[in-house]
Amino acid sequence: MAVFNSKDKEENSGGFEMKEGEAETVIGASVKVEGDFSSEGDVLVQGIVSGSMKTKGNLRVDGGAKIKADIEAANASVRGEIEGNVSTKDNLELGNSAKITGDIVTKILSIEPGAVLNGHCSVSTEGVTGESEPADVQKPSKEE
Amino acid sequence: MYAYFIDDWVYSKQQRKLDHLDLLLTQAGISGRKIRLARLHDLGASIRDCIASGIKSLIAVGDDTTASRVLNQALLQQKEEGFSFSFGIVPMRDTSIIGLLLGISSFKKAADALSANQSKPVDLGLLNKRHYFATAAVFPKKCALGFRSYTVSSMYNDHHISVCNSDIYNQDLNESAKKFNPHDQVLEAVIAHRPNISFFDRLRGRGSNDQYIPESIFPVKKIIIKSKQKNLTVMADTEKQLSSPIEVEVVPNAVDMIFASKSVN
Repeated sequence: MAVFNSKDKEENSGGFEMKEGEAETVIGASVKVEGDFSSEGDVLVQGIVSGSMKTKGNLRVDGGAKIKADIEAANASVRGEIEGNVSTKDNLELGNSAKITGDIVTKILSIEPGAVLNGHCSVSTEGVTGESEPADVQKPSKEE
Repeated sequence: MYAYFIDDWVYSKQQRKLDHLDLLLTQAGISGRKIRLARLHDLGASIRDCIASGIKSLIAVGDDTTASRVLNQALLQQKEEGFSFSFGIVPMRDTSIIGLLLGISSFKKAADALSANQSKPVDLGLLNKRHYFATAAVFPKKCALGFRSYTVSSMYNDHHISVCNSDIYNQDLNESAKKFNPHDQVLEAVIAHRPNISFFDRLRGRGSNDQYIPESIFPVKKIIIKSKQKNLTVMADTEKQLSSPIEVEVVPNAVDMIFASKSVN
């Protein structure tokens, strides 16, 4: 698992950066979202989310945010806590305060020192299907 | 041609301003039919009469309540009778949020805007398929926002829930103002909170304790507001009593509004 500075990563791989005013949906620190959240645009999470979370745009999870949900997004930058599987189409950045308990599937991954990841990690340059379950393993046929 | 629907209180409390407005409109050559909205006035009949005589611009003279009354009646009749009109406001009080939405802060600016006659289609919000609003619907505390597949609730008691078409929080931030656009064909469901200001800071005059700051913003086309209370008092341009749950939806490009040239985002 590669550990490198996110600034270097942005320079090298053209990582995304979402400013606070650019998000279309803002889930503030004092707000709780329950259920299957879905959005077409960029999402900023500072509060609590439980259920599932899907967005066609970018996702930013700030420090202090707590998400108990499976997440799908185009790009994601995480500095808060996530309990669930995370799947992104392109970039996934884990900041130094990020804590993920679950599997991640992404194309480009960057992890800052201090980030915590408990789960399987799949980084592939091929298209991410959105499913974070591992592929079926063929059992060897028994020799008679 | 214009029809001016003048609220009853304007005649009794703002007679001088009204005379001044009359002069300005005459000088601009746009003085039209004047209708006094007395308590028992049949507004529907007046609007029907105006439209039948070829008047295309309905102007509310008064405050946001006056504007809401005229706009709602005109839109409900438009639905049934299928006519077109443009709508304008002449604010006779300093605090008109609809006026601010249209860049019209005083009756003098309103006279200029009416003489320029620039109009633009504006989205409106619709409450329970009946009550239209131009700026925002503000709900009482302890309500929850219900979307199709998820709900949003505030964890604190001191919060402010609204569904906005324009920026009622008067945020100076350009980024924030971008979110509240009356032409984007979506409304913004907002949960705002009041920041805690310490006693000493309040004594020093730092920060206002009654200003809410928008914290959570959800773009919506349709939303249901749920509450444990059966009847809710909603502030949607004017005060309205509605029964819970309340359905709020956007009506894209619902009406042509006459605006001041440097306004409407």
